[in-house]
Amino acid sequence: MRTPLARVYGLGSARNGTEHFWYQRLTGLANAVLVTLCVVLVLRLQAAQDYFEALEIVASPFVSFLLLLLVVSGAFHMKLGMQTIIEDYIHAPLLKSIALAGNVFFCSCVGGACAFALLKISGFSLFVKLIGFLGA
Amino acid sequence: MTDTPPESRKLASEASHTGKHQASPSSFVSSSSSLESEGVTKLAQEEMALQGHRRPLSPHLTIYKPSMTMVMSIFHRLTGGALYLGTLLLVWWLLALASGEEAFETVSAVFHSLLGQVILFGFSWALFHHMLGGIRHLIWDTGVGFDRESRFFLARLTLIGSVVLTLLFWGVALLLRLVA
Repeated sequence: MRTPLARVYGLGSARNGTEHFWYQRLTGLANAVLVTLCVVLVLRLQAAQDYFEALEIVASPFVSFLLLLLVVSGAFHMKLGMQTIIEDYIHAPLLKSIALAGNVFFCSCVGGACAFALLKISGFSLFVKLIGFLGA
Repeated sequence: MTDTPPESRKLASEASHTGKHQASPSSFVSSSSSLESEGVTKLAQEEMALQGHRRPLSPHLTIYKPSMTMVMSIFHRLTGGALYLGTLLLVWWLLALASGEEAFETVSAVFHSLLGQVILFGFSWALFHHMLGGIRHLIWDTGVGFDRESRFFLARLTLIGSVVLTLLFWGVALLLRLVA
């Protein structure tokens, strides 16, 4: 029986799905914009001469923040997309659960590793500048 | 099946008459004429016979006749899966950049090797293709672009656009490398 409360919550027989669809679109739209900006960044990096120039480019607040947004939105989008693939092709209950959990772990690790690296790059660059400032 | 366009029904039923999948149980074929008139291909009928008329699970690629939009949909999923694994390249690059000069030189050397460049070229194409395919889906989400001409136009635009963007991107990248 469909209670009025369930209708308010938007819970059909599948319980959820609308949010999955909606967040897939939202993160996809965000990714399209962020990836386009990152194309410019990657092209800029082609002209970087060495490690320190590359570090300085990525460490700049605008670039770090751009990449951080992309990494979060991208990891979320990946999780949603691969979840759909798993649900479409893997039907054995145990294997499906393992795959769905593995998907969450993988995307968390990718997103987490990138975010951590970006924060460290920003901080590290600041540290290098501080050393240079103290040295001079 | 009620919203199947008439032309695809016709095509499907033509294909089932002339198709290469003739080796189905004769007892089943004799009872399949009504299904054929509904646009169910011979291959699909064989599947249903094998499964004891259980409905195929979705998406069940083997029973449909390939169409351009279907192939594009498959490519969208394939490029998505490739990008999923390809993010490891970004993880490696960012962690190396955060680790120090030595780690960064290693990842740079690998990325600039021939194999590395081929992989990155494939990654960039997958990214552009998935991006354009996603924009196509966003256009469809607004409720437009479902007619035959629009579907084919968007499919072509995605495919040609992804190749053009990839070549343009690599052209500019190589030019910048030469200048630098």
